[in-house]
Amino acid sequence: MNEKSIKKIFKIHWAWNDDKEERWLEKMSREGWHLTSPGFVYRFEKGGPSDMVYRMDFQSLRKSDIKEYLGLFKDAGWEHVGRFGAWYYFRTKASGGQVPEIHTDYESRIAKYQRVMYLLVIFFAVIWSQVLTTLNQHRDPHAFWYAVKAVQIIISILMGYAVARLFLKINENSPA
Amino acid sequence: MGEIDDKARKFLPLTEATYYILVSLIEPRHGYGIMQNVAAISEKLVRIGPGTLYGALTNLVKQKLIERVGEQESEGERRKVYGLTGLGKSVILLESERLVALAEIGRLAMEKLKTVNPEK
Repeated sequence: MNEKSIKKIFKIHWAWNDDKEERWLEKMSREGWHLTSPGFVYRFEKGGPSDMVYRMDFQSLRKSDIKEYLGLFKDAGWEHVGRFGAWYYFRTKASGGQVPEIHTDYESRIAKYQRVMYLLVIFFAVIWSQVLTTLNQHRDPHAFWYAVKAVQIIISILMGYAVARLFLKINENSPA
Repeated sequence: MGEIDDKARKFLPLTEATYYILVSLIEPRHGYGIMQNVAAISEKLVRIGPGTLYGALTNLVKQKLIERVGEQESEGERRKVYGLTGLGKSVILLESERLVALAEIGRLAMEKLKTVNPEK
């Protein structure tokens, strides 16, 4: 047997663009590259080109609940490909007619983005409370503290942006 | 009875998926059984994906409309089995009454539309 060829791709995807990421993974599969593990670095394995449907779900699960969660997907015909943080990656073969979905109503699609958003809001609050306390504690102009503050502010701006994008995503998925 | 109905009323109206799931649980079932039953009773018009189902089951347990009643093992797979609580039963009854009343209004609306605009 030939040695399986493996491809690693570094790529950052944003939480509000999960559908773009799914389309990208589907395109890779059509070209014969099948995801083996997601992350900042995606690993793919070479195989025959095939029409796959990729879907991502966001769930912060307790260890004891993971089995039941993945079991439901398996029963419904979805293969669990991997996990990156709280993002779970699933795929199934496209079967011509109806495109299979893991979320079959807008309520649960919205709930997914809300879970991502709530988590970000919590992080956002934690980081800002730190920005404010360090601001008060270190009034001396020390380069190190400026750097720390700058990083915190950049991260929180990015998070604020993410929350706004997710909010738009929720609106986009809501009925008119 | 009145108190539990007041509690139950707060859950109305249910989403379509939630209604199908609750109705499926009139007999205890595991998740896979719910998906199969929903496809069967809706003549395959309604499908509930695993992501939607998992979210709904977690919520319904939290809201105490359903509860775990056991486990079923088949073909090496262990599946949690769920059943309705008393509150869950009241919710189905109230929601079904609401839907039946709505369907009656819908029937009258169709008749009216046909007499106003007979070609359609």
